[in-house]
Amino acid sequence: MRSGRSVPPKLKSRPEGTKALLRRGLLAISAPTADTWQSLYNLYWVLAVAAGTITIGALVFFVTKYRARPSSGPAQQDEDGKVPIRTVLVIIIIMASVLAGAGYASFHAIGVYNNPPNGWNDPNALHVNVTGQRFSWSFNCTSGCGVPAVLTVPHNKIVIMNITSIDVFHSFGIPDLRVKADAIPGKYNLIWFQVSTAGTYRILCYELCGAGHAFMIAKLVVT
Amino acid sequence: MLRAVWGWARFHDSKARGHLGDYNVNTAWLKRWLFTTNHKEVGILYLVTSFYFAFLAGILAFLMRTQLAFPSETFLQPPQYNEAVTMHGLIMVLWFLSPLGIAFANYFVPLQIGAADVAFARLNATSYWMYVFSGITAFASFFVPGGSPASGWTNYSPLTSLQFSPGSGETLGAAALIVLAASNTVGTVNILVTILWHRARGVSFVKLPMFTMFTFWTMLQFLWAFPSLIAGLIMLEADRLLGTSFFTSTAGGSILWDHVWWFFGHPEVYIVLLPAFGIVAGIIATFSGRPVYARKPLFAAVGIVVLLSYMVYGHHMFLTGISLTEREVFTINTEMISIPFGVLMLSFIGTMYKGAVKLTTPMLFALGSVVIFVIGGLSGVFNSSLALDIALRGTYFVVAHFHYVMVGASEFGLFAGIYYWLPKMTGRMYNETLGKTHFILSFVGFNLIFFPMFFLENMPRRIVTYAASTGWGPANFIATVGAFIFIPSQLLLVYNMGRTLRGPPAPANPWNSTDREWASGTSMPHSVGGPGHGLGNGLGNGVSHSGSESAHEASPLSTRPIILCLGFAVSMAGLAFGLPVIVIGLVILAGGVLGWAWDDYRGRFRLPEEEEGERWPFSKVPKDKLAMWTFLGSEAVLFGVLLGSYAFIRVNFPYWPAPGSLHDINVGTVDTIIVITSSLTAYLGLQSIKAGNKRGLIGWLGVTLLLGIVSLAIKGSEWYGLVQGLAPGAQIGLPLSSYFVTTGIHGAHVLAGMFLIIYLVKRAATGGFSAERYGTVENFNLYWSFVNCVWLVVFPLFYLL
Repeated sequence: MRSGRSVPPKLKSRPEGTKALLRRGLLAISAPTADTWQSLYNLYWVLAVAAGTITIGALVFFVTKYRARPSSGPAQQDEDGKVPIRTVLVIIIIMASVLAGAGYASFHAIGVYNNPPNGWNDPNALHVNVTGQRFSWSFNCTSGCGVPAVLTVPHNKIVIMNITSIDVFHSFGIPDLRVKADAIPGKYNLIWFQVSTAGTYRILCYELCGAGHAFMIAKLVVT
Repeated sequence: MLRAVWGWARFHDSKARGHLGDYNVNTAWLKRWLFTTNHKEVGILYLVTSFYFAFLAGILAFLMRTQLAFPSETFLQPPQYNEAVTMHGLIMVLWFLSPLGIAFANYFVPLQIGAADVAFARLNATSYWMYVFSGITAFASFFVPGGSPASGWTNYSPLTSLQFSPGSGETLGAAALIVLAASNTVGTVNILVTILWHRARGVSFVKLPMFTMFTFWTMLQFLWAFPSLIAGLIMLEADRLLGTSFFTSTAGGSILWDHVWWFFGHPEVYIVLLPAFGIVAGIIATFSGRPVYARKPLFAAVGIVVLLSYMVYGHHMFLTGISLTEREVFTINTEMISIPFGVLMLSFIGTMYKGAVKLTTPMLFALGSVVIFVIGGLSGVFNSSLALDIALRGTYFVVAHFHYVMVGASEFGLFAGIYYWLPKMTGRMYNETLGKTHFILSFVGFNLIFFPMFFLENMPRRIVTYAASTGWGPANFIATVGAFIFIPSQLLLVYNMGRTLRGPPAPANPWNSTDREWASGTSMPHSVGGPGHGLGNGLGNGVSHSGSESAHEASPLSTRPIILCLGFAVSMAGLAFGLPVIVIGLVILAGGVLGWAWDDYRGRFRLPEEEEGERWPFSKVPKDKLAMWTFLGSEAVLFGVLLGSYAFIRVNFPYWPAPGSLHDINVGTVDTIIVITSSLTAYLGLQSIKAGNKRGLIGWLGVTLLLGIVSLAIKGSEWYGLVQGLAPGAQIGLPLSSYFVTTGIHGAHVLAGMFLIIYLVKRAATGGFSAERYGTVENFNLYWSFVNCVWLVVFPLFYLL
């Protein structure tokens, strides 16, 4: 059995540089939301790179192959007005099926975000009310979860957050856990997460809210 | 650089100077440019002006990238940064990219369809001057206390409310946007009618040249997207100035603004993109020596993009708490919109198949636009996913995505158009080496700026700085290096354009294009000075190649548009500067409108009749009527958005007063009966003049005017009672907010209609109408019935339900 405190040091702070980014795709992610998101993201990248390579490749190929040369004559002209309906249909069908697959994967992933393991009213979960105000986040939970701007939760605990704002439009995000919800005056948006490894994570504001937008930072400490 | 741009304006004067030789040369020059109604000259004005705005917004970009180059920099303070980020976005999208598309539409749509000019020459100048004055108004907001708008180009509420943005800059910025939206509406009606009604024989609708075809679809987007912006801005200004609570209440608030803004904002993305793609399609075909591949599917695909563009905006709102079903529908719609774009890509790339591809500067930019769009479009699919968007929303991934689509794809396409048409516009050839250098620096610089941003998928947008520990430093540094390559390299384009004016004469059709604007009717004029005479000699406002092309000095001048627009802009700016400025503006505006009406009344502004060409599917509809219908189409969206906002508030507001408690149903019913009757009397007036009865027309119009006055008086008394009941200084509750704004805008329409009646009566009295000539009366009837129909929807919604 592993104690929550004996964390491998390299996980303690999670740098966001490109190197860390390349690594993260391969790492076992420590939260179900991040895990789901990352695999979906990787799937989209694979599809996008494939589609981009084919399209741009075709363009480059045509440009080189059909490049006008002094020796070559004018372009071959053929009958105008013939609709290449088959080619168009093939493109439409291929795109539609790939997009349907990607969409299906997205709908599957959103299920994870929308369904905490034991429901939104899980009595064993830690319920936190999050309030955005210019320019800080405050956390309010029954059992007490820390000082202002620092949210402390135990590892492996399911945390359910109810997010709102008392002034302007903010957006509450914990980038490493891939969770985010808009904090809007008068509206309450729910998110949940569960982290299995202890560490410190950044909490940021993702919607321009005024002069202090960049500094509306809080800390999530998982013990 | 400024000299070069200035030189451009001077150059295009050339012929006017010869024509108006009796005048002092300099005033004739100025007069020509201030009062022109010629589509080519307005096009050039649009082009040069949009470059000025691009220059301003480019400086802002430069400042932002400098600030973000290293972690924890303090080059800009947060408020300054927020102003820069906001105005950069607004100016680039609304005052640079879309007007540059409009510039080409002005210049080349009439040439491509063989029209002598656009449908309504003065309206064309009107839309231009509104654009100029709106831009000046927006820019002026930097210098008012509190600075320019600083809530991002999306203006998310309630940050834009008086409480959080107390300075008058926000009011001024919103006023500028209203003027701009009005400009776009006017321009749109004009160009749509031009395309539908002024095609020469043989230019059937399905055979429209690529650029005109794309422009047609774009104009439909302008027509239906901008009214939503106007409606939203009116509500915002009402909130800020009159104390209503659309965007400060929780029942309306942020979500209402999101709906209204993005219903405009997402189509706006395609408004920026599609004209560029029209240029790209034409250029690829020309430089491959092949007809456009899959032309008809392409035509349909663009139409589908236009339709779908109104149904995808919800992907900007995935995290606001809209229901799962809504999010799924918007995900599917957004993914679907990439399919027609796939057809576009197929068509663009397929056109080169078995062609003879020539990599000139325009072709390089066109291909660059396609390559960048492929990357931008594919990254858009990420954002369409309701799950992936959770982490990507509000990050630099989004910044990278939309810059790829808007800057890369649009701007590269539009620049391709500049190089492509420079020989046409100036009669001279640009420098190819400089052009290619410009392309390479732009392409490399652009990708250096924005590709690294795809890997900043955690970095929030619009932050003024970041800590080194975030690890965002390297990507930001690369982006700044890219910006230092990309932004200055645009000066090469300006320099090249200036140089072109002294460049070697271009052949009539340098690219062997088959499009009509290059069609050779007459050879180059010989009367002009030879090369080397420099600016302002010469080849005039482009070279007249085809017989249908009018010489620009033939089109009449009018002082009315610039006066009217100045008045409108000043009165709107008065929203921020107070009542005296509004009054001054309205006086100037009235001067412009009266002068315009006077010109019409005296028949002073006449354009030569054109030979009838292809008018499918509107061959039976008179031109003015078609314009009125088009305009009413945009009005319908304006009221639709206002009433939609009402419905949204109504559903979300739990304390709505019972019917009859706020508004007297009896009074409303009487008013409604009067409104219906006035429609009838207006119609009887039309029937009278159709039968040749002039006095009948005047009589019925008089009755209509009277009924209008009574109706407005009833509304006035209702307003008076309601305003008396308001607590001074307190915010107006939602039920009254929506009542005041909706009936207020409706009342303004009634008032405008009444001025029209006065004009009609005056004209009828002097025999301006007859059994054969009653078009204006008929158009007034359309307008009046439309306004009254709106009331028939407003009445049950506010009084009975």
